[in-house]
Amino acid sequence: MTAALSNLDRQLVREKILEKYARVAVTPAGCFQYPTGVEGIRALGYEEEWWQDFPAEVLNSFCGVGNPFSLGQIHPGEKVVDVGCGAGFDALVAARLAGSEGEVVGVDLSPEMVGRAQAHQAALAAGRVRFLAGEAEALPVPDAWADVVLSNGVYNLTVDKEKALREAYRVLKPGGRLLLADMVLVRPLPPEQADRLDNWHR
Amino acid sequence: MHTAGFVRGRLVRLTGFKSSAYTEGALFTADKPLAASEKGVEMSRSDPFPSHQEFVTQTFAAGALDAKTKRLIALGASLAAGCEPCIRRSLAVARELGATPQELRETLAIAMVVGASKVKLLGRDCLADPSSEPGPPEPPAATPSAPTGGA
Repeated sequence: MTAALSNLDRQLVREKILEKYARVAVTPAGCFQYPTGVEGIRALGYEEEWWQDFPAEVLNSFCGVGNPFSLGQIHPGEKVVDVGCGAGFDALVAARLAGSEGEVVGVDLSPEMVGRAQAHQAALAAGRVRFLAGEAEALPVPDAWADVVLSNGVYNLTVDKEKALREAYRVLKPGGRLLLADMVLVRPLPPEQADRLDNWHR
Repeated sequence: MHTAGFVRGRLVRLTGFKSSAYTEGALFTADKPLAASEKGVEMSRSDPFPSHQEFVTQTFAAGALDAKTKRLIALGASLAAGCEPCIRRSLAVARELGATPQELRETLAIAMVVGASKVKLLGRDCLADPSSEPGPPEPPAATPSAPTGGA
């Protein structure tokens, strides 16, 4: 599908995503067809002890599509990168699981989201978490730094998915784990190009 | 994932979170190999034909047939082929993709029709084949080593 996109289309996709997530950064309510906030967190089976003391605005900002922590454990002391961290819910859960010896970097394309995540971090007084603006195709993280790369509903939005996955591979240590929740096609898209571009940022 | 260098990449399950009529949340895992050599070892141990997985993935991607229908066809074919691992896998994925008990029963019924038809037609052909009619009596078998009954 990517091959069929012109440079103009790519630019359009990026702009639409930035536009949408600047809106989502204010509130995700009404922006998605699936449950968000606490309803989404509960439906996906995040354990309550991980997040029960998070401020309401951190919980309300959640709009993940799956629970990447259900795929494997984060151990105390591990280093974690959250690709497309949004307002920071998964990164803050990872920070809790990695403990005081661990380290977490959340990366997001949208500066509004990074701002939100930093405010949430301050509200929680969570240490050893950094939130940086950047894209999945060029992560601001050194080679072989992370034990775990996690991501929730982001790679489907990236224009160059293969490049983004190579970046995840680059920042992982040998033996590191990729824990990924994302949108996949379960039915074929209608053939019109316009519909495809619309679907990109839904 | 594999082109990026990951090993053990797999779709674990769908989450039921749908962002449109065409897309649904899914969970994936993959590992970066421990050493450069692990990739090769992994490939040779689990998959002597590395392009096979790609073939499978492409075959089951939604196309003119949707993903669930393809898995139901796979289930029917697996039952008819008697491939137990294929049956288990097709069944699990079809359920993840939302196959209902009734859809599974109808798929099973098709495989039963194929199985029954195969036996029926084989039997009919064999019954009609003159080479399976009784021939002239066979000469008595020599029994040099048979016990003679005396002790």
